[in-house]
Amino acid sequence: METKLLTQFVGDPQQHTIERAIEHGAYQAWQKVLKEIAPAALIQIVKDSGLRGRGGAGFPAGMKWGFVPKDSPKPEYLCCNADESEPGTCKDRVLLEGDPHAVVEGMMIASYAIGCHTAFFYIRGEYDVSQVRMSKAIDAAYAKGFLGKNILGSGYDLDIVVHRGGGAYICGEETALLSSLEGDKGLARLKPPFPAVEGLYNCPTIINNVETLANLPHIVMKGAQWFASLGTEKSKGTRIFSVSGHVKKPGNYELELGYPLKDLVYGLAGGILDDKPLKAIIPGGSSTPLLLPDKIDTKLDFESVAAAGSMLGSGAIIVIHEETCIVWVAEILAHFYMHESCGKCTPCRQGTGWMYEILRRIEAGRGKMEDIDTLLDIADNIEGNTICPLGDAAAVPVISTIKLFRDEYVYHIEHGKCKVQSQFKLRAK
Amino acid sequence: MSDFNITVNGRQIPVIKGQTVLQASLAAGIDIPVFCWHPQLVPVGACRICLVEVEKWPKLQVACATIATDGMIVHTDSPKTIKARQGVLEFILAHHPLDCPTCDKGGECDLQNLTFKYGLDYSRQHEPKHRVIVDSNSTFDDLPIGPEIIRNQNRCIHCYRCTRIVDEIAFEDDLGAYQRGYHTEILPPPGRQIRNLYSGNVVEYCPVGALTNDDWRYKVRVWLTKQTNVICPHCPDGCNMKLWNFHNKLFRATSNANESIDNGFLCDIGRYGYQYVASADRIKRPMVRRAGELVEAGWEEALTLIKKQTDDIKSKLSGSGFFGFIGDIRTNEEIYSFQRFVRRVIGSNNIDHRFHRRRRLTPGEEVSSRGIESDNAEYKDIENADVIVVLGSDLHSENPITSLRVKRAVKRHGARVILLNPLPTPLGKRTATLEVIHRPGMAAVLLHGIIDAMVGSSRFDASALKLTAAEIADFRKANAEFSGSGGAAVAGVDLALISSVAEMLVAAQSVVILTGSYVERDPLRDTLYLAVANLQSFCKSARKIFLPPDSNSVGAAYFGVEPAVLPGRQSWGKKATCEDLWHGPIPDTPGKDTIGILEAIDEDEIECGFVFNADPVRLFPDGEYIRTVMEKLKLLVVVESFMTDTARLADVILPLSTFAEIEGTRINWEKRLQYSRRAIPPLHESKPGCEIIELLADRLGVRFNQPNPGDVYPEMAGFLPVGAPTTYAAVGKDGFLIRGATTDKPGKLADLKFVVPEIDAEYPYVLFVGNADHHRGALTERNETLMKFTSEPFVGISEADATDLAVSDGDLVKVESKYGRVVGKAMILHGLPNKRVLLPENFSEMSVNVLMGRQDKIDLVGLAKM
Repeated sequence: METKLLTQFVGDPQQHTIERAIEHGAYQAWQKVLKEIAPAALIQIVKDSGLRGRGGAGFPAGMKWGFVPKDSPKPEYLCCNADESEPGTCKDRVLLEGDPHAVVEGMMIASYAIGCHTAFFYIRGEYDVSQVRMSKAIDAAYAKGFLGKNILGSGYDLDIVVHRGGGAYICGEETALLSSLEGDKGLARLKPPFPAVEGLYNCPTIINNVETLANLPHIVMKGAQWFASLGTEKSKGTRIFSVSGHVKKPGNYELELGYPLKDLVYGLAGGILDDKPLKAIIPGGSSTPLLLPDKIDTKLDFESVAAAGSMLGSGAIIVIHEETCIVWVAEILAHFYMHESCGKCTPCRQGTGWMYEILRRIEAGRGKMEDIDTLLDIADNIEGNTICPLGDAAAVPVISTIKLFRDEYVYHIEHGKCKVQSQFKLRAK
Repeated sequence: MSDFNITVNGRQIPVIKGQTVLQASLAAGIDIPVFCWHPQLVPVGACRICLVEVEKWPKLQVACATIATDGMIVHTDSPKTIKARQGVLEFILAHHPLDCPTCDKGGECDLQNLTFKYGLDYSRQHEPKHRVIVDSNSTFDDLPIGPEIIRNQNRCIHCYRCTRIVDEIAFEDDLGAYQRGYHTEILPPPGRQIRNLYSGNVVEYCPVGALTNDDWRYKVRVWLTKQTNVICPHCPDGCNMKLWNFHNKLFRATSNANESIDNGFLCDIGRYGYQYVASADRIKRPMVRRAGELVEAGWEEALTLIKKQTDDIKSKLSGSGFFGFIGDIRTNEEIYSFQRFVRRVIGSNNIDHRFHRRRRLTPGEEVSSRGIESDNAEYKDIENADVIVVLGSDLHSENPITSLRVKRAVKRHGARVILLNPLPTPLGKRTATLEVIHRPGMAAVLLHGIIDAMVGSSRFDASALKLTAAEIADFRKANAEFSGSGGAAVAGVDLALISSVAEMLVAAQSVVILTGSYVERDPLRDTLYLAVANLQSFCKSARKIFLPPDSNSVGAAYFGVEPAVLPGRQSWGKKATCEDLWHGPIPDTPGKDTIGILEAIDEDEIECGFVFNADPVRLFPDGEYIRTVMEKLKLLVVVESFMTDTARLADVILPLSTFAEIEGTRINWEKRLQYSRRAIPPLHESKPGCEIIELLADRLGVRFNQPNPGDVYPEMAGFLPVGAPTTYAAVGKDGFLIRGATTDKPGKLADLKFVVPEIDAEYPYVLFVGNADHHRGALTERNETLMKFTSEPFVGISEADATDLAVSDGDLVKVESKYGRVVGKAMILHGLPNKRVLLPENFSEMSVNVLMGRQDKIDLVGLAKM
């Protein structure tokens, strides 16, 4: 069963208008915060709720807010990361299109907590409907006096600036996002310094995911204890899971954390397409290792998925059935990382391209035996040696598919064709 | 002198707080490989070759960006580090073309060196190498991206040093990294070329052969060449360079990094400005005038002729019938021995090196301007200033490396820059905080208007100044007509802008004021200097630097090539010391300056002149007058490397060696003496300056026995302050800063009167003289590479004026004044205010000085389409 907390009203075609949103309770939390809750107390509430980031890293949100230096002479900035691009992930889009005011309100609450007076909404350029709805929602919020100077007489000022990205996965990485927001190319930057201390324009900056922020109004209205009562001991609250791949009912499903993967795939998502046997599942977006069917009983929370050998990541569940060539899966994922690499650091820039070209050659039937070890070595030379996690992410599908399905690679190389008779073949190379 | 230690490879090394692991290791002699790191650029950690293992840290760290902390334990040679390093090299080499046999960088290539040192000797790469194809019919993927720079994208290792140098150091935007991932391409913006004044640096600092310049391309292998350390002769910045020669032919110039001066960068003028040495237009042999024509002759014939004619003239007029001119580009040794020659051997004190002054100073002006000199200052004073004022200078073209230092102050220290000029200059884009364009001739009014606004500011703090309240009040009253909105209108500047400038100066803790050619050549130059001194008195702490015109103007002024000054800028009272040293008398009374000399020639009181690498016929601000006068001379001996306008009038020409063929010292604007070594022996039959002077002296009866600069130096160094090096070997990398007693006490506030210039209806345009792109002075037109950037003179006008005159780019226009005319192609200069004309002085086919006349007014001209 879904737990529709964040997605409760996204089915309402008018929910993106401020009038309908207010009917459904929007901006009550914002008004409560302005009237009754001091920033330090607000940070504590979020810490107590156990909310963890929903972008992919799962870092505790309240703790991250706590990293902002208390007495900085520089302005603090909040940035909402709406550059959702992890393959398989489309959960933020649901909120941006279906309930934008929840996101706006989340931004307001987070800004207030960290003492920010200018917040930035960074959205991937391709999400046009989402951006239009968010911009209109922000304008409507201004019109109602929820944004601007001396909001509702509280003395607190807040402006929100909307910025569209130019089309790059790397701009979901926080330092590249900041580069892009500042007007430069979206190239990743060295950390340290960390954005919470030196981020946008060298000022303390907090970057939060859309879904993370959308939880804040609920936490404020219903309390940290209530939120902590959902989910598991270390993974509180709900999560929107984007299920795609070989299932009968792909889509977004909001579930309490700790929900069994089996129930999601075979229950809510309707089971495997054409009732074929399951081959593998990628549980958290393409940057997470594959899980074999023997892990189908894993619970969907941060710790359980990690214990099973993967990561909860962005909560994008990609289901792969038996009649799929895994080498082909690795090849198209490798193509993605090669295409999205920003090009700044050598291992990722050259390594992603090299891995893709080897995989393409193997898939096309011209592989050599040493290619497998070369692939693993390239992945090893990338991992840990790059400026940002894109390189590490690119290495994951290669390492994981070879570890779990080496026989398919060997077959490709020895026979020059797929081990599996796959009905899914390549798009034009 | 360290703050703590870290351990690298088991060895304790000292660290100064704030240093990175890389900086501390390099200082301790531990080698860590780098590609994208450069000592002057912000570390980006892009190449990853400097990854090192730091104990207790989970991942390898880039040494270039990891700040060293007390107790850190680092390994640069652990198995993990070695594997990562080999991995990075393998990644780069996977798509790096095997171009070594034809690549210019071979032998000095970082990738070659690091691969041999740290890389693998096999390849696992089976895929076709990526190519950015330029011409599909060729295997050479070379793309010219500017007049001089050629890019081969296949070789690029994406260290981004080039784009970072252009952006961070030069503040330019004509090179960038386009596209993403391994498709990233180094290119100028669409439709443009890389042609900024510092573009050569990207070739020097590219670790591989991805960026090459045409100057060096395919000509010689680096391991065949020999390098010599020299000082650039083109401007008073004093950059250190290396000249590379093979078989005594020069092939290129690169930086010989000097952290006190140039930080390792050269402008293109210095970098390509050695090419004139090998020019086919060099004067190869002596020349004498026979039957009205200059013809080649031998040294003996030339010297005999000089001896005979000199004796003739001397018997009639004695020493006072002679004069000497020398150019500011010569070395101190040549300058010193020249003035010694003219005074002691010729017997005349009529010598000078300054050719832009239009009239003599009145005695009153002489007195009040004495002591108004540049303050002692170094490049680091510019870098550390709060506010930098650039007055009357196109700093970008006149002092390119000083401009870089100004940019560094802006970038690293948040300095603010104020430009005060009669026309816009390149520093106005991105470097200047405020760019003030004032009415021509009204700079002093503007300065006084600024002072008045400073005093009127609510943040003005008189107690921080060395002026009394009475002095301030008197000054304000005396200058009332040039303050407020009245003064602003006269100066042609918005009052609000003047206030902004004033506020910035009032709040500044330290100010540096730089002046340049528009001040130096202003008819009211001395008034301007006094106005600058006045402004200095009203700042909490300000230093003024009157940037001199040429590379050794300071040396020429210091070693006494002026009529009333002796070497060491000693007063006439020290005459006896010189006579002792030179074993003979020099004339009793001070001599005439340039204008005095010209007038005396006109009156037939002077009949002979020795002109040593100077071109007053081209420079003196009255072209017709000086030509007429110089033609009257009975004997004009010109010592020169090229057939200049002055040389054309000579009776005897002696071929002079250029800067690369001589050794000697020069003094830059910091008053820093530096030693420049000889790179190649004299070409053709030219001789070094000191040798020529020794020959002339000897022929005319006095033997100094100092034919080489090394012989002259010890005697000359005796005139330097205590502590100066007495031999070349003792002149170290940082040279010697000449510091006399400073005139630290502020002068009395000068009372200045101004006359607003009238605009002539017949000649409604104001004339400005400047430098064309990639040119400075008269030598740059003899360098092939510099001529690729601008090859001919132009007539710079505004868009509106072009419309009025019905003129488009390239149309011939004539520029006429009441003194003469020139013709040139129009060039529309965006941003140039109306009714102004800008002419470059760098091309021999356009003699700008024919348009000028010897009076104290701004130069006015008329324009018409031809």
